[in-house]
Amino acid sequence: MPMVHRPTSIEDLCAVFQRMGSERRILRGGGTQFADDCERDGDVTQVVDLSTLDGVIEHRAGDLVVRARAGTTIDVLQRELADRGQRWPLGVAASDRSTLGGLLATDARSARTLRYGRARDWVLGSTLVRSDGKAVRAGGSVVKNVSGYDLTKLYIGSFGSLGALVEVSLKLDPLPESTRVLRMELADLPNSFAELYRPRTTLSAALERDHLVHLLFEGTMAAVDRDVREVTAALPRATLEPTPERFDRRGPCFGAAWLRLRIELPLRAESTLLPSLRASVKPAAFEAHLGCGVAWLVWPEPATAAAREILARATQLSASHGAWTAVEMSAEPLDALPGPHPATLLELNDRIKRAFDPDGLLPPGPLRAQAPRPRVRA
Amino acid sequence: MNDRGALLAALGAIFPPDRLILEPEQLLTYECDGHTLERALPSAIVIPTSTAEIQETLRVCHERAVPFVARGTGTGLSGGALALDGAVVIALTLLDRILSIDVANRSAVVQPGVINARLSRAAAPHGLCYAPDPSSQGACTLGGNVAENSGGPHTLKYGVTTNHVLGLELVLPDGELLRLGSENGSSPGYDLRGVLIGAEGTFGIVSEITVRLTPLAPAVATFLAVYDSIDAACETVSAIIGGGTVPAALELIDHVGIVAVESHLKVGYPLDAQAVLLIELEGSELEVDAAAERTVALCREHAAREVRRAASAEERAALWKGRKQALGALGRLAPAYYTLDGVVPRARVPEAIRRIGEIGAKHGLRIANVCHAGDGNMHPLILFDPEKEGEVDRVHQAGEAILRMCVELGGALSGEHGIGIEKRELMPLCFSADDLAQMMRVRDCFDPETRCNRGKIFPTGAPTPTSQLPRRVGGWM
Repeated sequence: MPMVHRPTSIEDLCAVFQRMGSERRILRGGGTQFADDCERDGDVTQVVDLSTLDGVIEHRAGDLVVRARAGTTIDVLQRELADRGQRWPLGVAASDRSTLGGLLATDARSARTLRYGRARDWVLGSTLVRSDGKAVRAGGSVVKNVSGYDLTKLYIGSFGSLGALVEVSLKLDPLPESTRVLRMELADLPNSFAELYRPRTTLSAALERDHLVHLLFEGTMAAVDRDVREVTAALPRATLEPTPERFDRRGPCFGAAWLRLRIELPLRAESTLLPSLRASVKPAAFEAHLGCGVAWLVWPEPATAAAREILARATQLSASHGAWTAVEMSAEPLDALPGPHPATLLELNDRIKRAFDPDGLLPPGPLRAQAPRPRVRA
Repeated sequence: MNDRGALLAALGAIFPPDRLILEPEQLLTYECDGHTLERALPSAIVIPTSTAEIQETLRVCHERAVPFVARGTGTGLSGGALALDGAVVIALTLLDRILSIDVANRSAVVQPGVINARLSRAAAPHGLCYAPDPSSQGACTLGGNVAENSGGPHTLKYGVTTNHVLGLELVLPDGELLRLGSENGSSPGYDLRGVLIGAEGTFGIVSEITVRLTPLAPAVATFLAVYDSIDAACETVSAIIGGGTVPAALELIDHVGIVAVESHLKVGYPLDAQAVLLIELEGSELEVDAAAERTVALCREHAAREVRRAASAEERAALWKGRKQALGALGRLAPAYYTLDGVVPRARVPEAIRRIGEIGAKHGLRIANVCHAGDGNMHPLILFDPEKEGEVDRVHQAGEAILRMCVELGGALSGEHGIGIEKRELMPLCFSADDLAQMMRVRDCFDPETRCNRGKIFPTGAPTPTSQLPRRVGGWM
């Protein structure tokens, strides 16, 4: 059994890292993506649980800015912000357990990217504790800032390979006055989402999952009502969901899977590549954040084909549309970001890794990592 | 042949004479950018017309261990384009093609020398625009915007450059070519594009940029709110933001600025006002109407003596002309001015303005405020006469005092102009030695010999070069 450390403060975490010396270690947040139902780096015996470093430090509502410890769960953060009519606009499914640090380290995606962009667009600054126990700060708590390098961008999607994210400053948005969700069969959508999508409306997200599409509208009462009316006039089979506040719970769901691929695609390729992937790669489950350029192909149970064959098919099809593929989980050993990658890009990624963690005490960087494996079920 | 002779011969093998500038009087044109308090002469200027020529130039510099710096149109306000240590300047102004506009992907691919406003004009027929709009957008280049992570009035709602760049092509200091980011903005591996944007050209030379284009808003409402008290204007700003409305732009001009603008541009700002707010709301018609009602009510609650809504595109353009050309107008009030770029938390703007006034009085200098109040980005303009004994020194002292105050209030040294050479010695106010060392380690990953825009961002302890007194100067923000 690995030894699990639960630091009580940033200073304590620095001391824990220093005491570990040259022992390799992995970091965990809420355990929604990795720690609970998958294995990484089987021989690592030291686990640092960062969910104990939690709590909102300062919510400056007049500035639309919050400073929080990275172990804060998304629900706790949002509840505190909602008290003053604000929110961080990107949600995730397991928000009761997902931590801010985990969300950022894995660059967990929100379907609200359609209207709000990515996590990287809503983080203003950070504190990271390196594997040698030194804390480094970058950015700040103001909405515009070009004072020094924006190191925080490197941490988002770094999978804990550069250090432990312990504190972040976030940009906020006012809570919408009204939220509604329309649900429809995928077959009831026009040929492509692009035909339906009108930018600058209150449509915040469009989630496709298991042949269903959920459209999320957020804004003033009058504007949401008008947009919902317009869409239902065009798509009469669309129905209003009774519990729109549960939209984020719909996914993406990151439970253990035999194979889970993420496809990163240009917007222009959505109308052609998504149907091709569904038809010719035939995932057991399919999910897409429409209008955001991201989709997931999931096989909860072993498929008849080998995982690497499925990956090869998906990669080939994607590449012909200017898209690329990431392996989020695989029972067979596969690279997390299958190449080929240009040698210069690999070298630069390696250098960045060494600039933070020269002795390789934390997990390898995303281009060098193996996809996590689902735990063998008893 | 001496070192310089050999370097020039090697550059001469790449560039025809009309794209290799060596004459001292021509080099003088490049001795500073929009920040004129410091100057340095480059050893040569090259003007490439292809990525291959950038690569060849960097290979020549690499072999000879020569520093280099990329330059757009020189509108920068922190001395970021200064060629220190006899650096070669690589002027990117001829790499000015919009390579493609992809409407279905809402993106464009451009060369670094494309002027910011030109891209929005080219995208407009498709109902799209490039959102970051620095006040220098008619002159500044997108490559320069990437280097400085430039903002502009409308970044309040839409974000700054980094929020709109999907991918980049980068020439590393040894001449190697690399693509960063991707067409949907995700990066395989670390987000190197993210750390490069705003790195002030210290990682290499960006030779191509893929940007996200933003759909034009169906409805726009522009207001001028007029105040007899600057405090009341500032308090309105906090009330609007904290009250749940994020306007597209929220700008403040104080009395000195108003007088300058009105005397020269005649856009209709009341001459006796202590401050005006320029407020722009964008979105669907229903949303704009609702936000307009709330905003006008808040202005009146906070003692605006007049709230005027632009009734036509011409009126809107006139209101904006006053703001975007405010610096030019202020330039007429004094032989020179110095523009600062500190940021404070937006709720502290009233206090910041008060303290800027006190600092001006203490140093005997007139300071105008033209700021992006909505995001706390202060642009105090210190008016001065470089011919007056000791005045330049007092300008430096007042500038430093203002930036110290911004940091003290929880802000930052720069919101959109960058640290450059101007503020490098002040970086320890914001960051510890460990923080700065980490940043330098990241720089070393790209540029291990520190030849790429050397002498910028990080404190050196050395005095900055001030070869001559500033001549009449201009600038934007």
